[in-house]
This record gives sequence, structure tokens and C-alpha cells, in this order.
Amino acid sequence: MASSKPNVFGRLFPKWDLAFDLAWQDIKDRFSRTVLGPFWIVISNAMLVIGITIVFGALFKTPIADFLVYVSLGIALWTFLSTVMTGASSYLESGKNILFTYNVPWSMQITRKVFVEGIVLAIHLLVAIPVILIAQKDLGVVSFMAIPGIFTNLMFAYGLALIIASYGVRYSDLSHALESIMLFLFLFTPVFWLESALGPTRSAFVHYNPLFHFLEVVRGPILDQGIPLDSFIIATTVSVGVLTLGIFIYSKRRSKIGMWMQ
Amino acid sequence: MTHIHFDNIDVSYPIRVGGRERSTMAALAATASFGRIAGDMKKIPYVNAIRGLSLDVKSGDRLAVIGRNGAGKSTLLKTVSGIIHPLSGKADIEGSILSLLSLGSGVNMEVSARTNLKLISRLLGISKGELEAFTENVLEFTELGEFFDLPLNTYSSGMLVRFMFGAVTYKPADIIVVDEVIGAGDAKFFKKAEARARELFKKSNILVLSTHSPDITYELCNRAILMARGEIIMDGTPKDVWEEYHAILEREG
Repeated sequence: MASSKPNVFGRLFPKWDLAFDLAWQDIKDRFSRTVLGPFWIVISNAMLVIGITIVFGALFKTPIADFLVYVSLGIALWTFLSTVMTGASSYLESGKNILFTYNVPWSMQITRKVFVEGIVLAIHLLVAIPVILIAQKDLGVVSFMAIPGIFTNLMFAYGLALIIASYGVRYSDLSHALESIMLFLFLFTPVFWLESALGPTRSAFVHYNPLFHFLEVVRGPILDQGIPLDSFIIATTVSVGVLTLGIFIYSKRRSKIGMWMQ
Repeated sequence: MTHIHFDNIDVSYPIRVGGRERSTMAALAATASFGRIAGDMKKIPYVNAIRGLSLDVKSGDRLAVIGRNGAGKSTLLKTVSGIIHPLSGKADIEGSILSLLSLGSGVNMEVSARTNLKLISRLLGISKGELEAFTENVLEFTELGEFFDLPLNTYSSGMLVRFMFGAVTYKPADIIVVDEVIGAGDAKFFKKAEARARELFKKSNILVLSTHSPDITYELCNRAILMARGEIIMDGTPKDVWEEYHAILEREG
């Protein structure tokens, strides 16, 4: 913090390599006293995915293999987005020790925490790959469009994290509010149910929900073997918008953050 | 050119009273009702820790910050370190900063000193090529011996302090900010720590040191400021400022 009005734009992404190393350390710490280590991430996720697939696959009368891919991708992305949203208000506070001692840009701490959730997402997705390979018989090149899809999710989450972290130090009940909202949205968004099951009159709800499109940009290319153009346009626009807003809000509030962390 | 320039700055801390003024819900209600509901939540009470302070510190200055408890010394040190920003006024600081305000930050108790240093070196901006020299230096300084490769949670509290002090006092910076109360283990080690700190301070352009000891001030500093109620009431040579401070203490009892 060389000056008290830091050039935040110039300092937003520096030290990403340090942020990544710290994130990797966080992941290792989380499982340091367990035999299975990060496999716990896979196990708890697998239980949820299999449970939902068995129950809801039967309810929706869909082929179980397709539905398994649908749910595992949906849950992986949802877990990523919702843990960032509900956790971001305490990101800065949890890095207080480091931020107060070392001369590092404070946004590095936000980057670090998003990386942690990003690593968890990567583990989920890596586990999903064999499932996809077995379940999807006609995988084409178009499936690779899921990668830019994942990228929009990352940008969206980072933008949200900047906004929520900036206000989270000031408003102590923000995380509670976001937890309730995310639980509501979890049911409201087709994470584990099929949009088609809703019927034509209510499916508008789904299409006005941006979170649906963030799932669709990853699931569409793999499950439907096509590019959901609407969803790509919406997800890209929203993620760029949220990231820009996040940078703006963080830089506006940056000078007041320290005061609330004393 | 390394410098610290404060022009009429105010630094305040919000007082955390109830939960209301920190509530999202109250903030939404106040905004939606144009302040008719919960309008008071925007009026957060503040403590003015520093008021209208102006200060110029140039390269070569060794500044002692003196004053009673609650005079604003720590807040000034935190402001120089960039941990807290002024609510108003102009602040301009040029140069890399090393702040030694508290020890024991960012270490992982589950792994060894050696492993911890890998991460600490990154936080301090020490290059990969220099890591080995850094590790050797800290090992030699802390005299931890075989404990150096054992997890930190096996250390005594004194050993822990030695390790953390050794780690953060390796790399100099343009500006060094020190709170004197930073402790450094037993008496024998204290001498060693003092010597290391002195060497470090020599390599900086600016030293800002908060202290309660005239001896330390005379030895390390060439300028002193006396603070009271968040303002600088005197700025001069260490000797003059200490004499004034003693006079005030005697008058006020």
C-alpha cells in the first residue's frame, strides 16, 4: 500500500500467482488431518449428485445417464457460484493477518478466495469428465465451447466477490441475507430439475434468471451438442458487466475497508 | 524519492454499537423510505483518532512518535502503513513499506519454519533465487536448530516470536514503520533482535518509530513528534521533544 489512494485498477490483478499459491495452501490445510484429503470434496459432491439423480431422474422420467451429467455439472457450478456469494463478505476479514502485516494489494485476498472455490470447481469438473465420456455417446468438438462457458462463470463470480467483499466488511448481516437468497434461487433455478418440466407458461421465469444461463453455457455444449447462443450472449454480457461494476465498487470503497476491519 | 506527505488528514474509527447501523436490512429500509424508516442508521458514531494532522517526512528522517496512550500514535503508524485510510485530507506516500506493528501473521502452525518461509518470502516480495539465502539467514538468526524443520505448533511461545521476528526483519524497505511494543523473546535474544533491527533500520530511507523510551529515541532517531488527542503538538529534535513531553507529564501528573 504505497499510497493511501491506491491505483486500484492497476493493482486489481497483480500477485495472482501469490494468490494462487495461498489458495493451494488453503486447500491443503482444509484436508491436512484427513487420510482421503481433497477426495472428501469428490465424495460429498458425488453423494449429492447420485442422490438427486436417482430421485429426480425417476420423477422426470429422463434417461439416467444424461440426467447424471446434467445434475453433476449443475451442482458443480452452483456450488461454486453460491459459496463465492455467501462467503465473499468475510473474504477480507479472514485475511486480516496477512493484509495488516505484509505490503500486498488487498484485492489479492479476494483473488485467493475465489481461486480456492475455483480449485474445488476444477476438481468437480475433472470428476465429471469420465461420467460425460461414458454417458455421452456422440461427443463432438462443440463440447469444447463449455470452456469459455466456464470462463464466464469465473468472471461473474470474481465480479460478485469484489462487490460483496467491499460491502461485507461494512454490513455484518450481508452474508445471512445472501444465504437466504441463494437457497431460494437454488430451488428457483434449474440446477437439478429440467426446464421442460415447468411447462411453457412458467418457463419464462427460467429465461429471465441469469443464473440459468450461466449453467446453460456449460451444460448446453455438452448435453445438447450445440451452442446456446442466447445463453452465451446473456452470460457474457452479465459477467463483463458485473466484473466492471465490481472493479468500480471495490476501487470506490477500497479506502474505507480498513476502517471497518479495526 | 521516498517521502510521506500528510495534509490536514482526519482518521476515524466507526464505533460498533448495536447491530442496526451495520445491517443491510436497515440500510435498504432507510434508502427505500428516503430516511423515514431507520434513517438514523446512516449516522454512525465515529472516534476521531487523528484530526487535521499535517506531516512531511523526507528521505533520511528517523522519526520518533511520542505521546501518551490514546494520543493517536498507533493510528498514525497504521495510516503510514496503508492499513487505514484518512476520511478526509490528502495523503501521499512514496516508497515501499515494511510495517512491524505486530508479529505472528500469516503463518501456518501445522508446518515447519522452513516451509513457512517459502510462503512468507512471497508475501515479503523475496525472489525465488533469494529464498535459500533468506532461509539460511533466518535459521542462523533464530538458533532454532532442529526445531527449524518441525511444525510451529511444537514451538514454545518464545521460539515462535523469534521465528516470526527473524522472518519479517530480513528484507529492508524504503519506509519502515515500527511499534516499539513488538516483543522479542528472552533477554539474550532481545539483544540480538535489537542488533538485527538496527541493521535493518539503517538500510531504510525513512524510519517511523513509536516509542516510550528516550534512550531509543536518542539512539535511533533524528526527529521527533509529540502527539496528543490526535494532533501533533510539537515537532523538533528528539531532545527538545522529550523535554517538553516530560514537562507536560509532570504538569498533568
